[in-house]
Formats: sequence, structure tokens, C-alpha cells
Amino acid sequence: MSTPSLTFTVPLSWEAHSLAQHYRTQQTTVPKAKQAYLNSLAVYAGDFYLRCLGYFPDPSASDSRNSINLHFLDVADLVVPSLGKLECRPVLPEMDVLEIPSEVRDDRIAYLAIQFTQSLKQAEILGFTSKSLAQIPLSSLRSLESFPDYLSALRQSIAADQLTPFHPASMVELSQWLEGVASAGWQALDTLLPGHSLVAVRSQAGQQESPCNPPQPFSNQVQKAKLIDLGLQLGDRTIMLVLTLAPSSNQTVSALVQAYPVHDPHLPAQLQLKMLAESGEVLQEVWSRGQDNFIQLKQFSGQRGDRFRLQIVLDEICITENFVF
Amino acid sequence: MVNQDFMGDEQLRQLALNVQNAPPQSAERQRNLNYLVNNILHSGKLGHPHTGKYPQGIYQDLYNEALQKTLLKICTKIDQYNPVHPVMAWVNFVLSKTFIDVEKDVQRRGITYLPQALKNDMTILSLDDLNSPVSDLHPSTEVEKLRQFLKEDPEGRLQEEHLQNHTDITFQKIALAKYVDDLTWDSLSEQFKIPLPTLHSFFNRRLQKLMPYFHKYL
Repeated sequence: MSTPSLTFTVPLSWEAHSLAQHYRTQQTTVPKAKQAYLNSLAVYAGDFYLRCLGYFPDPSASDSRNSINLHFLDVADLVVPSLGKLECRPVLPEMDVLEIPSEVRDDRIAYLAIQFTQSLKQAEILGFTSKSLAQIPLSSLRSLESFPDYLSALRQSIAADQLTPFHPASMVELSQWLEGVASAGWQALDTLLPGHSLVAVRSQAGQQESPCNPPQPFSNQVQKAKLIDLGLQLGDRTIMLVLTLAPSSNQTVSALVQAYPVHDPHLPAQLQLKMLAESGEVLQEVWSRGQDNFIQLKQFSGQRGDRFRLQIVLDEICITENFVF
Repeated sequence: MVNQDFMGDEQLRQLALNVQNAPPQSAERQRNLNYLVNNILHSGKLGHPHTGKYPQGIYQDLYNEALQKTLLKICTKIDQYNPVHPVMAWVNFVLSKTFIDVEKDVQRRGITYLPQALKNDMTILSLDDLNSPVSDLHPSTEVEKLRQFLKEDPEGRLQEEHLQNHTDITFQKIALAKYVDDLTWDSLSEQFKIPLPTLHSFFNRRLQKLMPYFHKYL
């Protein structure tokens, strides 16, 4: 017997129910009113679950949150930006199947089965499925244990599809930097932020050393920086991406990639810096925890013509820069 | 890790640390957050602030509201957890503060001492409530407006949209059959002799496209 399936429980109180009531009272018949109420609670529970995991679903963009849709369609979708629509289906206490109405069998990334208690004061997310069949036995649902991986794989495949192809216009040619030629947006630190000193350097052990500027490039090194705007909603979220290149022997060039905050002393928490192969495969990644003065990737090297991508990710913002050595 | 086990303090602490140490937004962190929430709920150590202060029914709802908000705070602020303290001490600390906030909010809305919530926005319905014929469902003016809008189609746009190769099967026809006649999608599919996926693909997409038109008149 395998380990019991991982589920997730959501207590439901006034916030959940008043919202459900709003959708219920727009309907004219008892069955439709009931469906609208349950669907609303289910979407609410799904939204709560995803937010606990660190996602930022957008219920307001969902069809299920538009009453006009509910007059025609038994829909309980939840938009997860950058991923798609997750259908949150209610399951009644005595049921042993998940029912998926025909109107929602298309255009969904997955279906969550959300079972309610008789009082409707508690919802339990039993599991998920990616199969869009009319009925799925609850025993066939996949455990929530695998749901984060499922979404992660989906995100990677979507990101890979959306990566711009490497054409010359979108690529930064690092060989040119070594020859003294500038790339748009990339400048020497002093030019980019004159007189600005970047704060403390973090040592290997994670302890904070006394404040000093980032390591000055040696004479044969080239260092350039670019300001990256992560969006205005959270206040100033400008960070600076710093790339330091050093030619080594046998025609390889090593690169050090760092990210620094600009106006705050610390980087925003959960900022990710990733390095990807041309294919989209993540080769390395590092993230900030909220107290970091900077983060950096492990030094890597390449030969002329080798391509890679850097991504800076914060919440749903994902900025990609393409490079060729 | 089986989620039905009741964890001791030390195991719960380790679980919280596992969450903190996993990369943010990684599947590993998310999985561990799920385990953490489950183990908090099943710990048997959740506090119950001010138990005697309210009648049982109201208290349960207040508590649920506070508990739900607390769980979200724990998840989103897990990096602030200090392992020096037991996890449940932190959870209960947040819970008691959140409970007070919920109390204040609810008092402001005036329901605390009423045996049954009178205002719509403080009603909690059960499945039994949903199943019984209730008199609070009456066609509001909005619903009547929709019926009229579908029938009259002021700008003729509902009639313009039709299934490919079937000029007689218009969006309007489908919308009326669904909304006014209250037919199921299965019976519509049979009636029009159009496969369900095709019907939905057409209708669902046109509905989104026509939404501004709906909003203009409703």
C-alpha cells in the first residue's frame, strides 16, 4: 500500500462565503445557484492553496469570476499568470468521482478536486489530474505531492517555448566587449551609476564583511553592468546585473554574473538569477533571501560562439538576456 | 513523510527549516509548505483564543477565518520564522493576533452577538441550505435584462456570429437555448447535431469576444 495521498485543507469562513453568495444570487434556479456557490468556494480554495505555495493567481482574470459566464457555463477556472487556467472542481461529500463538465474540458492546465464538508466550512483539495474526461474516479487522482513538480515542468516548457530565438539583434556579443565595443544598455559601472557605491560583499560563508565596492576588474578583465527594471508595483525594484569577463588561456573566456540592488541596501527576497543553455535547460540558479546585498552565479566559461541565457525572475516578472561568447 | 503522522516539536522545526532551505518557488519548497500546513493543522497544538467569549457557532466561524489567514501568513512569511522557537509557538502567536483583527473586523460589520447573520455578506450556507428551495432567489433586474438583451440583440451582433458552415446556428440561438430554455450542453449538441467540443470551442470563445457588448447593455 503506497503512502496516503497528500491533500490540503482550507478552512472556509465569511470571506469565502460572502464571495460565493455574490455569485449565487445572480442565478435564477436552485441547481444553478447551488453550482455557482460551490464553484465559487472551490475557486476560492484553489486560490488560497496556490497562494500558500507562493503563486500569485489572478481570480479577477478568470472566467469563473465573471457572472455573465456563469449564466451559460459551469466554470470554475482560476488563472495562474504565466501558466494558464487551473480548473477547481467541487466534489460533494458522498461522491467518489470528479466530474468535469464539457464546457471546461479544453484549455486547462490541470483540474483540482476539491471536496467539501456538509457544512461547507471546510474544503479539502484531494488531488489533481491533467486528464479532461467527463468523470474521473477520486482514487485515480494524482497526489498533491506531485503537483508542484507538475506546475514547475509546465512552467519550464512554456518558458522554453517563449524564449526568443537567438538572432543577432537580440543577442549580446561578449567577444565585442573584449574588443572594447559597447552593447546597448551595458555600460561600465561608473558610467551607469556615477559615484554610487555598492554595499558589502558577502563572503563564502555567508557572513557579512565590511562594506566595499564589488571587486574591481583586473586589467585584462572587462566589467559591464545593466539596469534591470522588475516592475513598479512593489516600489522601486531596479536591480543591476553585472557581468565580469576574463579571457583565460586556450581561447576560453570566464564570466562572473552578479546581481546588485540599486536603491535599496538589499535585494528583494526570492529574486532568482538563472543561467540557461540555449535550449532553455537551467544550468544553474541562485536566489536571494531578503537580506542579501548581492547574489552571484558560480563562475563559468565558454568559447567563442557558445551561447547562453540569463534570467532574472521575481514573482511573475521574468527578464531574459541572451549572450554569445 | 506521511502527512497523517502527528509531529513532535523537533520534527516540525526541521520541516520548517526544510522549507526555508529549499529554493523559493521550487517544487521542493512548495511540497514542504503543504506538509507544514498539514502538520500544523494536525498538531493538536493549535491555540483557541477567547473560547468562552462567543456562542459556539459564531466562534467556529471567527476561528476559521483567523486560522485561514494565519496559515497564509505562515506560508508567505516562512523565511521570518526563527528556529529558536517551536513552530507552534510562532503559529499560535500569529493566530492570536489575527484572531483579534478578525474580531474587530466582524464587530465593525455588526454580526457578533446575533444568533444568525442577517446581512448577505455574513451568511454561511451549508449544502442543506443550497439544496432547499430558498425564497431569496428571485430574478433580479440584472437577470431579466440579460434575457431581454439576448432576445433583442440591439446591435445584431449575437446573430452575426455563427458556426462555420452553419449559418443557422448562431451564437444567439445557442445562448437563448442555454439561458432561457435552460437546456443542457449535451441536449444542445444533440439538437444541433454538432459535436460538444466544436460547440464549446465556438460558444466559449465568442462569449469572451462579445463580453464588451454584453457589458455595454447589462
